[in-house]
Amino acid sequence: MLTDLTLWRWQRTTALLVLPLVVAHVVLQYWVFGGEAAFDAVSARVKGGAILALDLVLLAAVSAHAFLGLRSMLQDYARSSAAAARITRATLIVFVATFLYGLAALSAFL
Amino acid sequence: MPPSPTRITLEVHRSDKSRTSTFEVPVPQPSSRVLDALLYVRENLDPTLGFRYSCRAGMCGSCAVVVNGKEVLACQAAIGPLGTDPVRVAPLRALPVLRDVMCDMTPFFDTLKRADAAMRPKDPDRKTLQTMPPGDRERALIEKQNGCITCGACYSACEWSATRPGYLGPAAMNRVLMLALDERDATGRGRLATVATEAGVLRCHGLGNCSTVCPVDVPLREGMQRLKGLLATEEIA
Repeated sequence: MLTDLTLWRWQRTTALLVLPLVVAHVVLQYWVFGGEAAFDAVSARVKGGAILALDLVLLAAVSAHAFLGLRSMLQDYARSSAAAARITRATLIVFVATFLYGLAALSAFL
Repeated sequence: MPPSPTRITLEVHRSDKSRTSTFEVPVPQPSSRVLDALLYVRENLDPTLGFRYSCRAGMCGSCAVVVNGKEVLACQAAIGPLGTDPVRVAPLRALPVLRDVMCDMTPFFDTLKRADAAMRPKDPDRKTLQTMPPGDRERALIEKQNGCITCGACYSACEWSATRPGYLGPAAMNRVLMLALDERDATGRGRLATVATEAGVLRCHGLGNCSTVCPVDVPLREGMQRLKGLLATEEIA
């Protein structure tokens, strides 16, 4: 069950995940791969597997953290538990939609 | 200490007239307290002025009011260092006003009840609590958070207590933290579930108004962070 405490813990966990993942992403893209952004080059890297796994975890962590943060801000304005539940549901739906959109974007390179 | 005028204007919130009353009050010394001024008004100018006090030593917490927008104990707030004329006195925020600057503290004390913030000794047969000698490791864990005089200043200054019905507030959550860290308490960390909600520490933004106004300098904001640390790692029933 997604209690307030569970969602809060996920927000902390994803925050801890995002920091090293973003650093790894930037280091790989700009230093290791030299900023090569042509479709074929990116596709070859993503098909390698390790980069795909990194991008998937990054996509999930960033999306979850962003929408849990948005939920937390919107909860400031909730004046009833029903409103708070609606905010939670709405932000989780937007999170799932964003994650699926990210998956679709990644799949173009496969 | 800055020089004090010999007289100041005291603007006091009045509950029955929906306006403030102004009084010219003598200030014999810069260290004269806001409570002295209120007592002067009641004894010499308006016997109907409502305010609460008891110990006059900053220990009982009865005389907490808002002076110039900040929560203080009226018996400890010296008029000289305030540096303003008029000095404005208002009741605590987030609490119903009984009369003038005297509040009904029931909602505040209810937060302590709802947080189940009463100690249950591990050995109920003991007549007194087991002592914790200075320097003791267990005492060091709770010492900084100790000393709350339940004046309600933190509850008044907290941005959530006034605007979010059911929010526990800093004093109750600080008490839950103390009991969670106090190994003499039988319930201990089992009480953490009461604050692991949106009406508890998860909603605390950490602005620190509570710590700023606490007259006995309990590090309440830091306590909220410690509480969050416990929630991140403890198994919550």
